[in-house]
Amino acid sequence: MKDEFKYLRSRRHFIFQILSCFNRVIWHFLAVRIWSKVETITKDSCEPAINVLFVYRDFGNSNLNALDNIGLNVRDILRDKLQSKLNIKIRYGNVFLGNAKWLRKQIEEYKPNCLVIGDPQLIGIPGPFGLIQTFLLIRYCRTIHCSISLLLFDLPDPQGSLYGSVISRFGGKVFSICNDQIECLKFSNIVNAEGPALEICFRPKLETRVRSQHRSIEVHLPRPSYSPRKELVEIIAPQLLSNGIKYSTGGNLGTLSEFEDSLNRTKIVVVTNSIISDCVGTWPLPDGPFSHAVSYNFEALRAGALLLSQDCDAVSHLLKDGVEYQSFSDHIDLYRKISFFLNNEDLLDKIAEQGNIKYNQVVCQQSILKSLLNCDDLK
Amino acid sequence: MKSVDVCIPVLNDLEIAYSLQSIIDSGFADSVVVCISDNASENDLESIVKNYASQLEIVYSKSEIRISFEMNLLRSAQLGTSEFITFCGAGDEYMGHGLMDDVRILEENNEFSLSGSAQLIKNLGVVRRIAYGFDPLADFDVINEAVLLDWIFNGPLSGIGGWVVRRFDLSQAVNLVGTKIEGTKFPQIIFALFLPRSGKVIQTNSTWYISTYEMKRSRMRNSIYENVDWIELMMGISTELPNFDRIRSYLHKLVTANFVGFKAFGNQETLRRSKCLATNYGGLKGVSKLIYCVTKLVPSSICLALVFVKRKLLFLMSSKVTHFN
Repeated sequence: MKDEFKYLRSRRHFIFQILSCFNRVIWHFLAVRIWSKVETITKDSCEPAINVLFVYRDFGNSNLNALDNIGLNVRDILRDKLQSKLNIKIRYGNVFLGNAKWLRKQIEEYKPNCLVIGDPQLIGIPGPFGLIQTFLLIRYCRTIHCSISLLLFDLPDPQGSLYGSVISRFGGKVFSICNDQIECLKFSNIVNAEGPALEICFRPKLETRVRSQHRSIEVHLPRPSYSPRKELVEIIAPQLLSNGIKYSTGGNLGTLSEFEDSLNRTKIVVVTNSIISDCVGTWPLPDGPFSHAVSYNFEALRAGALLLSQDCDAVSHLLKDGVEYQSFSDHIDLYRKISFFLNNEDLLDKIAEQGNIKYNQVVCQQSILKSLLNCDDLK
Repeated sequence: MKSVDVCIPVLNDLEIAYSLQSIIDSGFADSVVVCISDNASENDLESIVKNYASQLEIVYSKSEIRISFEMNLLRSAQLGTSEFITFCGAGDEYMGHGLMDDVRILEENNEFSLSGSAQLIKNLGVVRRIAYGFDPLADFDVINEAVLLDWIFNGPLSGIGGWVVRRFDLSQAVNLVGTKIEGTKFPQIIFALFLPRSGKVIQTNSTWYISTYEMKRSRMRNSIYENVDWIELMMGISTELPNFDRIRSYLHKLVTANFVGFKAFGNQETLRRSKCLATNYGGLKGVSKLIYCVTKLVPSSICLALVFVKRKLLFLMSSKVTHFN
């Protein structure tokens, strides 16, 4: 399969290096020593969100479905409050300049008391100027008594990390979709972050789970689009084939519904959580994390399949290993576990069912979104 | 009576099947008792263990309530009665007769309390060997305390498996440390620290333990955050006990390495905590002190410059912010 991300990765890597260097200098010499004194300012001064403005960008990327779902989940939570309002504003196109101005215009128009930003690009442009734009946004929101919440999809994104670390120190909330609180602090200097918040990107599925004996596909492998996921699939696929195990591979299915339908017919879904190679690890790039909880983990649980997920702190933070999903470390371990579970379908069904129950439980509960909107008391 | 207990603490680990199978494949199933302490697992581990009951002597005990990993490790040891104990991580495997060779050496030499062997670490399909300066012609080396310290932090003893200990000596160490073991994350290191008091430690010339799930362990060990927490705890323990100056000095070195090696660069919280810790236990010295002074002075001078450049920016960064809504 063609490496469609090659161009993106090389460009991203270069930008990563410059921004990461900038981040490290800022963090080390200015950040925490001054701002650590204001870390506890917000906790008691939060009011329930009654006028929510949710902003994000639409440039045809893969997060759109997740962002739509977040909007629907917020709407569900606010529905019980008669005077609550939710405004969703979308910035169309992959626009580089003018995002901060556009955001300011939306805030002036809607005067929200809770601003939810779905994309750090909307705060400002990369680099030092973006840092000033963040300060200006924070100052303006303070004057109109509006709280800021930032959603981060990929933690190693240096722009999101920098803005997140600043916003979190001025009392805003940062929600990491794919990483946990310790990773946010350790690798991006974001304090009091919440995550992994995969649940906010999904909707409940209340249909009865189909047992594995009625599922025709035995294993679903991830899309072999980039390293190191690509290598894993290239090793494991021939092994499955030679042992007569029927498998499907991601990336070959056209629409989302076709993909979901395929998962509904699969017994075991394999998910890799590695970060794309070259994005972390070497100074000045972030020290980590090397893995993050990708949304496919929840796709698998939603479909009621057994989730075989690569070792990842964020996933083990969400789910119980060996009870609601099963972790694996490398291709040898993966193959052994696939064989083990295909020979023990009762055990496979038990774990898959527990995972499916957990999915519905956390997605229906939406505790992270409720804390974002300061609506913990609402059902 | 069997000579050695293979003690396996488990919590939802289905991988225990691999460990049990490897004991059978290695051919010493008749000489060991497998003691499995199940820490209130929520899945059906018992049914997996039962599959091996005809080929192995197994003592399986499931706790009603969830206890800490450290306490579960001790509980697994208490399930057996053999003279020697070796621990095994669920999913880790044995190869060859090396374990029984280690036991034989300990049986023949009463002055030895613990033997460790080189381990194989299997991770992402790559196998590597952990061992330290070993005489290839000897069956074993007696190691001194200085080597032991390096050995337990970085070598074979950094994992729960790959070493054999006398039950009596382990009990002595546990009595000495008491409940402080809880929360230490690597209780085997505590044992190793206190064992040399009762007998000599040897390193044997065999490789019989394969750590399959090294990834999780190394991630935990290498994490700076975990290390600061852990070192703090260890320093606390060593301070309360007499004659542990060498251990304290080793831990102090680990803390100051955070500065000199710039491991905490970009992470001020770790830097701050490491500094506090180092100060409490003897202070920073040499290069680490210089680096700390620079990190303290440079931000102050930048802030002063900003006062003259733009007063407004300083206002935004001020610590006087009291509320934000």
